[in-house]
Amino acid sequence: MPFGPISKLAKAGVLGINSRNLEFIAAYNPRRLYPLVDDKIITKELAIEAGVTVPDLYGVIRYGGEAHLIEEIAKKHRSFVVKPARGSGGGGIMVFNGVAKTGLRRMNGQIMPWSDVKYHLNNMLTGMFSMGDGSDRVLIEERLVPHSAFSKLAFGGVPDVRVIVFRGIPVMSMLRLPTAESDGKANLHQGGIGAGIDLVNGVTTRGVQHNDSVELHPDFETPVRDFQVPGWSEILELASRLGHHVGLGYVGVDIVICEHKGPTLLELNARPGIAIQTANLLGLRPLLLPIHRLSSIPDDVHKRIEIAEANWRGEPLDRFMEPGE
Amino acid sequence: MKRTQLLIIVGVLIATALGIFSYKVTRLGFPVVPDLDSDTWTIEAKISFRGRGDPVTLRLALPDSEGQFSVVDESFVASGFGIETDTDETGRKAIFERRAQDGNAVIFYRSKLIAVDRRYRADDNSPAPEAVSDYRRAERRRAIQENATPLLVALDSVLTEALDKSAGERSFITQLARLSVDENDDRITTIIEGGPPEISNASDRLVFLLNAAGTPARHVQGIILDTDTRQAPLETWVEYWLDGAWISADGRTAEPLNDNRALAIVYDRQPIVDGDGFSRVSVSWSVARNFESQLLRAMERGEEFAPWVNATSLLTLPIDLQLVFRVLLLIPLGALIIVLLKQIIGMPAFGTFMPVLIALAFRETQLITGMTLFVGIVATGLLLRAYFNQLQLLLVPRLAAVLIIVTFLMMFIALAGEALGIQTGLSISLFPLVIITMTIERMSLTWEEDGASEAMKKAIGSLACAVPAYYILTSEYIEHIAIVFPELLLIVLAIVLLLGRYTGYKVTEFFRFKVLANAGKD
Repeated sequence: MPFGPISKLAKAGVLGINSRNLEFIAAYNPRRLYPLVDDKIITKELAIEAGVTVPDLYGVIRYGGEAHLIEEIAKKHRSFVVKPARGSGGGGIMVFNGVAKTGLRRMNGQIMPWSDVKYHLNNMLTGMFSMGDGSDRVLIEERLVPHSAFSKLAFGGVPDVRVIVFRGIPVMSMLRLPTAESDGKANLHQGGIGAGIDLVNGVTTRGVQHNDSVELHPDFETPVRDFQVPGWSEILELASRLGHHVGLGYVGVDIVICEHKGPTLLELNARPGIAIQTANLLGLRPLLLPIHRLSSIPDDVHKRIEIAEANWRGEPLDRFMEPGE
Repeated sequence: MKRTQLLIIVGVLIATALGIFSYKVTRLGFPVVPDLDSDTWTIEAKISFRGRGDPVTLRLALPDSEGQFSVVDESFVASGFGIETDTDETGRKAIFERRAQDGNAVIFYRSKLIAVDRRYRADDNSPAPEAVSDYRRAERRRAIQENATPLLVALDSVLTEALDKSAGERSFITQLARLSVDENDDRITTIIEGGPPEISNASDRLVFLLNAAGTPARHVQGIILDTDTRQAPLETWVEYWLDGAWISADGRTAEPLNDNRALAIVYDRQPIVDGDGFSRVSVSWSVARNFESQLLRAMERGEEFAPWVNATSLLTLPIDLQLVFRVLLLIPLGALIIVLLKQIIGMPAFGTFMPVLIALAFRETQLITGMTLFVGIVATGLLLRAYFNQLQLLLVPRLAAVLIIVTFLMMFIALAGEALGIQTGLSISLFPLVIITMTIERMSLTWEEDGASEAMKKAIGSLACAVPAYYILTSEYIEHIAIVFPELLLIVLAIVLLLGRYTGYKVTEFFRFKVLANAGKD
């Protein structure tokens, strides 16, 4: 082999961006379905249809002239999240947990003046944080309160679980933990911690930050390994159910585990990143290929989870093939 | 299935391209490398003006065969005008006349020139020009010192200093140029104020000083035949008489110019166009290097054996259209580079083709100046955008505001460049405005969302992608191949199609997933 290092990647079964784009996203995700996941309002309707828990919707702002609605919503709910309907990569999202006379209180305690709030809303409406171009809408949603199990694992923000679902079958998952460095965001490229999860029992296996292994959460010094993610079977079921329902073959499902509501859908992603492999120290390809070979996928969600678990353990999936195939 | 289809298409494309290419090279003898030493040029002047309904007489100054160039062939396109050429003491002119001209009119003049090597011009027996005065003669110096007006004192002081600091005629001229360029020097200010009214810039002063010193010198307006361009600026420089020949030289440094490149059109501030009966006249020049000889012969053979080759050749297009294609045909190559860098290497960059567009812009400014200007403008733009954000402007108006500021920045740089005599001042106006504005907006969004390091990474990545693209876009060899053998673009298409189905790893992914690769080994 001329490229020794590259062939090592292939041996580890690492899924590269080119391969992800062509062999999985282009092949399994029909373009016409993208609006389903790109528009958070549609995603929400779809999730409700599939019987999946979603954050409560407090209101939608469609035009600049409606920006004042935020004041009424704020008075009623006090704690909420503002996000663009077609936003990508978390851009534009803002979390508030209180109301003052002069403005809204952000998570860090600062008061954002009303004029700044409305300017931000207008920026979101002009599509500044959105995919494609042109205008967008703004969702005002319930602020999800993470499960108390995360109190010593998430700094300043909400941790979430990302599950890669392929043909309705969960394939790999990771826990994303915000840190002081990531400014309370769970995004890995901004310095959040990614922790690989054992798909069968929901226990974290290792943690990475900036592609390097970490044992302890830097802000709390609590171990990130061997952490049992609460409500794991419900998480798997939510991801599998929704992944099957939207019709996208290859999709990332982001889930927040709430104290009271349990696993709740945060968002869907039609182009989930490949960093999850580093967090699990495992290539995606050997997990995707057996499912790619399956001729049909059962409609029953428990059957699919059974396949997911067998696949994770590395068992052959022949027994899930229909007789005669 | 898709894979076989693709491979068939790729095979057909490559075979077609190589077939046409080898036929043109082996059978018709098209040259594979440009004849870079060929010093034949085609220049074209486009004169547009507006008639007032009165009789029109328009005189256009023409290059003549007296100097470094020989006019081999020339032609005029001026329907409805009577045309004659005339040579008087100020040079050669074409005279266009018409009884009545109402409304806009355009006249074209095209001429083919060959640079003549002076060494073989033994028959050159034109008399040496007479110096205006010879300062180095003692009685002349004494006369100046006796009639001490401020101008003469200043002149005397400058000339004496240059004389003292120089060893020979050439270094005297260099010293003089060095002194005359310094506008902070009181003596130079005195000369500007007290000298003849036409002294307006450094080259005028150099001519005046040289003449005062007894070296015949004159002011020249003409064109530097450098690269193929549709907008060749009218340049000014000086000529001085040294060792029995006129030397073309830079007006600020007195450095000799390449004789095979400096085409003089008029001397001593004569007008390029004059006459009466018209208004709003403008002249624009385009320049193209001729692929003479071998290429011409190949085309003649093509006419005989394979007329389709000529019928599909870009070389039969009008010159300014040809020049457009010389750039256009290189863009696919730039795109190929970007595909390689982004798809195979995994270079971070803004947008898809932004680096090619940046590279195109650098083509106009040269790499280093282009980079400096780009970084400068983008940095200033970023600061301003941040300020506009403070003012809480909405997206589209804010973009427009940044665009307007960028326009002003370019204008300022152009003016400053002109004042300092740096040529880039002019070419930056071709810098694509919208690209810079979008870069600023994109970069500041990335900055806000993903942090400064991510934004810097992408900005540096974009510039780094633009550099190889720039070298592709400016290579004379590649440009020659592209215009003479455009069929080779089919190969570029084939490669791009193949890369379109490349599912292998990017080079950067190796570094990203190093832990996984090493874990496999353990």
